[in-house]
Amino acid sequence: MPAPDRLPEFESVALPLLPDLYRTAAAMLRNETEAKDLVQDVYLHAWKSFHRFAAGTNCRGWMFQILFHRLHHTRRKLLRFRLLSEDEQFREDHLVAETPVPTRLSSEEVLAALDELSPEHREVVLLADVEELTCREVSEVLGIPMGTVMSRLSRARTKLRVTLAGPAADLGIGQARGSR
Amino acid sequence: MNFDCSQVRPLLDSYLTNELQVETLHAVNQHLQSCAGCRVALQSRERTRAALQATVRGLLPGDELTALVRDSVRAEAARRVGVRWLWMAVAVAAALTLVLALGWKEFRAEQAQILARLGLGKGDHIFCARGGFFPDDLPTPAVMREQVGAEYAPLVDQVIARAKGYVIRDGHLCHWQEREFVHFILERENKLISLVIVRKHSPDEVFPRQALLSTMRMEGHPVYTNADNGMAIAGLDTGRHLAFTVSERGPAEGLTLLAALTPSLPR
Repeated sequence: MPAPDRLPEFESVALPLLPDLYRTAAAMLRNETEAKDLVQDVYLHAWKSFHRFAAGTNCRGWMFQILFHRLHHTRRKLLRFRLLSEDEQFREDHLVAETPVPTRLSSEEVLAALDELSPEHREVVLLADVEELTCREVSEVLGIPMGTVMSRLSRARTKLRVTLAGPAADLGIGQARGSR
Repeated sequence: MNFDCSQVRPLLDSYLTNELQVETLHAVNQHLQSCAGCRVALQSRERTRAALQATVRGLLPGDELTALVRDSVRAEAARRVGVRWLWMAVAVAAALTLVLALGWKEFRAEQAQILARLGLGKGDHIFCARGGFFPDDLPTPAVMREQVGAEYAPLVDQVIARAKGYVIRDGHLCHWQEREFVHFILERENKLISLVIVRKHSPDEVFPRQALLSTMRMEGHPVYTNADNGMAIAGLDTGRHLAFTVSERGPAEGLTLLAALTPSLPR
């Protein structure tokens, strides 16, 4: 446990990261209350192990590490996901012509597309494309090899594009849905 | 190097995030100039990334969550302080044991030694900071480096980096009772905190060897404390120097500042 006099230091380095952690939790769990509970849980754990955190090192990466550790170990049942059907998997692997993603997308459409990803794909795409962590940092946060991060990221991005491109993409042909 | 579409498509995400090596980047750029299909594919990736960022970054926690998190962490820390009181009780018991072992006279002598050492920091703070011996205009880091001299100049950047939230009113060398002090005067909400460092006269100028009389340890050094006339004084022995914080903002801020700066203090 850290000494109580380190509380101001903890608050100054960790609290500014709260919006980043919350949005990742909210996008993973898709439930506001669960996301808030998780973030609170993460901060309590972070404080209790703050004496192990080396000042001047990557606090953001450390906090994300705790977030995904708590998410994986205590809340896996809450993660909503579905497995890709064999048909979808085949199309993703063999898509030859890309359907352009529409120029206008609503938040609901994007969140729905994110929901279509498995938790393993969702977490890498959130960390790499929204939080802009490098592949090495994502690998450290999630505790998985770099190669796994890169392959999951590639599949997640493809799947997102295919979903966002809309019904035409289901046919596997390069037909734009058009802007709305 | 000439690339076709099947080679370029898998590289477009890395192209977007500037992760390609120079030669590959050049080849992808060349291909994009002549291939409308790959340009459309690139735009799709840009749109997907931008839409994802805008949507997820729009999921905001609300102010109440920040307050809730802060309160729960503080409550946890306070619970820890409760445990700390228990340790303090143990420390008091240890001090009593020490009194019995050393005898009252020697115990008082050690206490007097602590107060004498802490008096160096307190005295310089009263003389210089309370006395107002610092300029109205804030000095630049370069001016402070020059004022404290080459040996202590690196400390200026450390104080600036680690004393976040404070205005640094001055960093200088000052003299009190024929001794020279390195003195940083910090201010927050019109109250001052001094960081005072003094080179030892001799190797014997130490705090008591009985660390049981200390409040805590920082980087392995026992820290001794005292409260006097609205000032919370904390001091430690770094080897060739004695270092102090004198806080008019309560003991916690003085100790926090001393803890933050201990790794940078001259030995």
